Amino acid sequence: MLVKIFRFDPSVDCQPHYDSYSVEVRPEDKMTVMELLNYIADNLDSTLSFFSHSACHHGICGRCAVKCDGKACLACTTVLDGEDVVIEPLKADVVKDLVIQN
Amino acid sequence: MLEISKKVSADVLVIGGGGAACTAAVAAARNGASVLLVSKGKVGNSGNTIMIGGSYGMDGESAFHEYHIPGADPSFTKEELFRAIVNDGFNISDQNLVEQFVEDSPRIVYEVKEWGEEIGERFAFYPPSNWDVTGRSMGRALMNGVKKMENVTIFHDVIVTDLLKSGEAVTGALGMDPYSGQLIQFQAKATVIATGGFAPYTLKNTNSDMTGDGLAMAYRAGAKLADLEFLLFLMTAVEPRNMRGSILPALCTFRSKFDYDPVDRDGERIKVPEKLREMEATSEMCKLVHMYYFGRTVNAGKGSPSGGIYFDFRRFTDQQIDEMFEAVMDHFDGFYKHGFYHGESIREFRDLAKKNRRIEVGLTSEYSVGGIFIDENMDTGVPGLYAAGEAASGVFGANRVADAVTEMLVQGYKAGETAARRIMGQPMPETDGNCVAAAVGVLERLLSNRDGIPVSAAVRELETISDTALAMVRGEESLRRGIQSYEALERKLGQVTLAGKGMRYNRELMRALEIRNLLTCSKLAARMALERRESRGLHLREDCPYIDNENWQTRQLAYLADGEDQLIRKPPVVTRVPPRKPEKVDYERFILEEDLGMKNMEET
Repeated sequence: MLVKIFRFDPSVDCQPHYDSYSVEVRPEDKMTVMELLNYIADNLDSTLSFFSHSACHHGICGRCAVKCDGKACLACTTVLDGEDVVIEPLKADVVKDLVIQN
Repeated sequence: MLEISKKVSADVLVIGGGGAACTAAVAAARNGASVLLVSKGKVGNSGNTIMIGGSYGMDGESAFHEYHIPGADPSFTKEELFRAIVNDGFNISDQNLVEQFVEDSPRIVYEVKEWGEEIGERFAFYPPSNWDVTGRSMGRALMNGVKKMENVTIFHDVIVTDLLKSGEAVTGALGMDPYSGQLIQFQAKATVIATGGFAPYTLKNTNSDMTGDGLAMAYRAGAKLADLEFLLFLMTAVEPRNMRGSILPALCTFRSKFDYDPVDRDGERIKVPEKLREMEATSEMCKLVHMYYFGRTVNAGKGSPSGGIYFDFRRFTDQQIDEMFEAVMDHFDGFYKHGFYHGESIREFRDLAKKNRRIEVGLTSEYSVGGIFIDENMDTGVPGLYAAGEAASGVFGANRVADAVTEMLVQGYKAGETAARRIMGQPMPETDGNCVAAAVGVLERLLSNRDGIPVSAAVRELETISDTALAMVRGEESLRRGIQSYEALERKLGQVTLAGKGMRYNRELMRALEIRNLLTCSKLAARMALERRESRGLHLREDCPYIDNENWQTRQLAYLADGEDQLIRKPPVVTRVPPRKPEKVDYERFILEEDLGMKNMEET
């Protein structure tokens, strides 16, 4: 599947852009968006920022919210269906990439 | 060059965002101190506190006579609670700390319940004297308590990287705001570490901030760490993959209506004596039972691919499986949306059980019994430095059966109280400028390193080493190899290299700081595990299957001397429960024959 991710570092970039990553995900894998972001950061692009400094991973703290294909969701409990996905920050006021100050 | 953007000072600095930190802040404020409460995440919504899946409580006498709780059982006396903690801890608890736990817990346990109920959070009583509560309810209750205090200033989402000192004394800490990258210098007359424990394995069931930050920074500042070899494993989901890390499998086994056959990779049933299997529904001692029997299966090469076992349901009908999971769902009704445990769908787990008749279940650590060495005043021995809760050590000895939730509240409160009382009238200390420069230098080096290993590789390596060296059942050889590997990783970590050099939410920088702390804890845990040539509590050695009460009825402490780790033995403080006879006892016989396993689970 193709994963398109919103990238923006307001301290350096004039405007946001999207990076695309190709990752093999089958629906039966039941991979979460959080796992996908971890996979990309660990293997494809370590500069990707997403909420991870105090994350519960089980839908408790509610702090890892992002937009998947325009819809707000928790990265840790949202399961990928193997279709291409666009991941964006929840709000316009971006700290970096997918991170907002919430 | 990085610069300090802001300096903030107060009488007492509390580091952490969970139960120990919140009660420390409240107690310090009540005793007249101005308080800075600095949390890596959100106060009341971070750390292992929000991961709570169970209960907390006090002794039955206090619940019945002092707090007049209907249904409380006064036959669960203070004396019985004391005895059970020491026995279940295999006789190496600091009994002064046990006394503090037993004597001081009723008041704060009850007060936190009131903080929660005041804002509509559910605390469900069950005998003898416990309350079921969710992690979020506990977090909200704590936050409600903190908000009542006028002189507590909260810093949410600030990562403390190092303690700061003047001579021998701790005088504050350096913090980093992960969003802006700004550095904040906290200045205080006393500092309380309430940052939780460490989880060094590939599979995790804790909040992501359990990286031993408080332990490692206290160690660097001169404090002693103790009992790190004791890590409490819990059955944890590995499938379905979206539930990976959930403790739902363990919580299923805690319901008396739930049944399964534990089987190995070949489908062979793993034999657990019936008397011990029964503990699943009565006592948290069952976690140790799982470690002992399932850990040996894994060591024999018969574990599942994730280093766990399988729940086998082949002998049950669909209807029976439905009924078992109905009991699990009923238990959580009123705490979560029906059919859910936290964000996990219990129905999805049930459906997998019905479809495959076999579910792979992993085992990993949910709680580190060891931590910063403290006395009954939560004093670390380093001037100005206190520690409480999971970050500290001593009360539970070699195994925890009593509630960690109670521990964090009762110790946090005491730490805040002691810290505030002791600094009364003292002037604000100066921090040594070199110490600040050194702490900032750590960050600068991480940002300027080149050509070293990436952070993700270092994290993976640490977790892989820990999986083997600090396994449920350990051995001389694997521990030796593990320590060598940790030392090699430590050298590589000096050059760990980040691809991103910015300061705005630099995830690599945050992880590099965490891995430094986690490595300190893991390496010392392995060294203590190697030294302890016996099995005791949660430390199981395949090559030493006996409890050695002749030589090892003792704690181990580590401290830094000229940059080198030093290990020493320290006999536990004994006040009421005498030590065991100085002899070697077979471990399995001991857990079968002794009266262990405090009954702290709800009967269903």
